[in-house]
This record gives sequence, structure tokens and C-alpha cells, in this order.
Amino acid sequence: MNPLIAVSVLGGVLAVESRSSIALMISQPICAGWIMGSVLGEAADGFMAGALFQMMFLGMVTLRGGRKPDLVLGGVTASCLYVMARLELGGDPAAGGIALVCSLLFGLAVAVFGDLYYSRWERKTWRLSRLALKFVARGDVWMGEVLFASTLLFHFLFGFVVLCGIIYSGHHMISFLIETVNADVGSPELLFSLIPFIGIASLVKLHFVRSRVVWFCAGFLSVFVFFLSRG
Amino acid sequence: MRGFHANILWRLFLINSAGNDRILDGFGLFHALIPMYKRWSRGGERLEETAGRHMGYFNANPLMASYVVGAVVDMEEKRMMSGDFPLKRIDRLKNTLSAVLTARGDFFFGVLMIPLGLTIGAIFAIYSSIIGPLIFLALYNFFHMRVRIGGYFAGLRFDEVGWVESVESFFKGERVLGCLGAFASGVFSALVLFKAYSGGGPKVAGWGIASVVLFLALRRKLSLMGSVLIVFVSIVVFLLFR
Repeated sequence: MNPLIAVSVLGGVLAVESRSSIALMISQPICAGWIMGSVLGEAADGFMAGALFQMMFLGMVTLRGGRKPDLVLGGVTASCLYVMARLELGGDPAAGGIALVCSLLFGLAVAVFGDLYYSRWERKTWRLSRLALKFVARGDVWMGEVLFASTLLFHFLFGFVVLCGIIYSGHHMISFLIETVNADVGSPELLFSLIPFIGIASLVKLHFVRSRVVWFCAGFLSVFVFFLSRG
Repeated sequence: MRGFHANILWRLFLINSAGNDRILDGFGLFHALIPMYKRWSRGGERLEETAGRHMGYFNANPLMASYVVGAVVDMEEKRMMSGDFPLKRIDRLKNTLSAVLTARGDFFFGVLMIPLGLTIGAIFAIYSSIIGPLIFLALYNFFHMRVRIGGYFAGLRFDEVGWVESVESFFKGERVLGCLGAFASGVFSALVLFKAYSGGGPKVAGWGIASVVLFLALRRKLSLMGSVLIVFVSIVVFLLFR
């Protein structure tokens, strides 16, 4: 199967897993990145991009009613684009760094788009339930089931279409950027040293409350003591 | 009977699929209870009446909804058996239970469990190890399945003595999980700092700390996404001109 179609189908399935509340968490970018990387033949690179994307939102709390970025599609986009760019570019670390930055930016854009799109979708979906109730009132429960199943199909198609489009165009744009723009952000490993600080910041925000701050400091200090004791 | 419960159970996993701003998970609840409507429509009650009562506003944490659905099935069954079980009581208990359990569930899973699991995953990911995400999946799904499947069957025993205690027992480790999450976050922070220092020197580590401060300052005024984007761009600019 064409790799683009394969990852888009898989991305659609992960979108269903996330949106329908199956909630096994395999769609979290840190897991989905590894899955996508495996499908494309570079599990380590996919895992790296997915993990980095996840680290940017590490302390994100998703409560009901609150708006949340579409991390699933964003993470899948970032990891797929990075793996595809790496496969094309080979082992050049400078190009790898740029490819990673561009992939993460595409992932962030998709996450924002998913959030905006679903906030509109959630304003309209109640009409489906009203329609289902009409069918049920006529004794047609089966149509109610079909309408509910159509939401699952919608989640799948949304994930599939977005990924197909963004991976196809994003892949070409990243290749074009690397060839034309002579920029150096360092190796992917350097990015891996800096971007997790965004995750630290959100974790600090989450855990700096009276009941937990002591434990945060204890964890921090224990690593220092461990490294100091090893010299 | 086993088939009846299995039929409701798999539907519970999809309860949030048609979530919307007006009736939230009302459509999902309707879908989860379809086996019940079918069963009792054969028993004489008009199907549309039962279905209509459960396709209104329903706000529940998707995982904790299992308790509520189990309790609703139990109460509806009692109503069908005895005939004098007041409908208002079912609606009142459904709303009260979902409100209480949603608050507890959101905090337990959203604030404690998921950030803890993901932090463990991230700690291992720093060293390119897949073990962390596997630990996250195992830890999370242990609690997840306990609530999803165990919660439904606990809900079916809703009226029995000790029900509240059985629900409470699930949240027993809440405080410990919070402390573990904070501890893991501290470990993650220190490891990232060490890695930045050893990989890029004091300049990179210093910029990392500045990014933390910038993010916290931005979060006072901006959304999470806005703050992440700005800090991300600032890191890229730093790397371009370092």
C-alpha cells in the first residue's frame, strides 16, 4: 500500500480512538509517533518527533468544556513528515534539524485547525441527536444507531482527509524549504535538548500547588544528588 | 443476560463520539442504552418514551459514565419489575451521579493520571526508550479498564449497601498519584536541564530556563496553544542566531 494512504488510514483510526472516547491512549503523540514511524520504516525517528510534540503539551489538562488542541492529528502529522523528510534527506544533521522544526510547525498548525474545526462541529452535532429522536419516536431505533455510527465515520474521514492533504503538501514544502533556504538550527538532538523545556513549564504550572510542590522539588533534587554522587 | 451487558459495554467506549455543546453526551447515552430500550419495548413499554427520557442533557466524564449507565440500567430494571419506581428519582439520581463522578473523574484522570503517565513516558523518551510509553499505557489502562468495565457492573449494584464505599475505593490512591506525578515532573525537569547543559553548554541550558519563564509569563494572558507557539518560535530563533 502507498505509505501516504497507509499512514492516513491509520491516522483516521487514531482520530476515531481519540474522539470517540475509546481512550486507550495509543493515539497520544508519544505512542502514535512510534506507530507511524514503524509503518514508514523508521520507528526511532517517528518516536522522536511524536515524543517532542507530546513534550510541548506535557502538563496540559483536558477538562470537559475546555478547548483543546488536536494533539492526535498534530502528533501524527509531525512524526510522519519528519520520518518522510529523514528518509529523503539521509543522515545530514543540519537538514534533519530544519526538517524537525518544519514538521513540528506543521503539527502545531494541524492541532490548531483540528481544535477550530471541532469547536464548530460540536456546536452543530446536537441536530443529529434531534433527528435520531425523531426516528426513534417513529419506532425506528436502527436509524438512530446509523446516525450515531455516522459520527464515527466523520471522525475517521476528517483524520484521513486532513492527513492525506497535509502530509502530501507538507512533505513537498519541507523538501523545497531545505533545498532553497540555507538555515541551520543545529541537529535534531539539540532541538531535543531545548523543546522539552516547554513541557517543564507546563508541568511547573500544573504541580506548583501547595500539596505537590514539595514532591516536585524532591524529584528535582534527587536527580541532582544522583548525578553529583556519581561525580 | 451476558450478551445484554456486553452489548451495553462496548457502546460505553463510544459515548463521547457525538459530544456537542447543547446536550453534551446525551446522544452517546442514548446509544449506550439502546439494548435496554429494545429489551423493554418487547416488554410492553413504548420504546420512544424510554428513549426520549435518556436523550437529553447528559454531562459525564466518558470513563466515569460507566457507573452512571450501570445505575440507570439497574433503576430502569427495578421500575419495569415493580412499576412504582418514580421516574423523577431516576432522572435526579442520573444527574447527581454524573455531576459528582465527572468532577472526580476529570481530576483523577485529567489532572493526575494522564500527566503522570505521560511524564514517565517523556522521561524515558529523553533517552530514546519506548519503555516509558509502554509503562504509561499499562498504568493508564489498568485504571481505565477498572472504571470502564468494573464501573458498569458496580453501577448495576447501585442500591446495595456499600456502593459509595466501592466507588470511593477507586479514588483511594488519588493523593499518592498526585505526589508521584509531581515527583516524576521534578525528575523530568532535572534530566532535561542536565541534558541541555551536557549537550549544548550553559548557553543552551540558560535559554531553556528562560523559555520556562517566558511560557509561564505568557500563560497569564494567552491560551496554551498561543504560549506554546511563541516559545517554540523563540527557541527556533535562538538556534538560528546562536
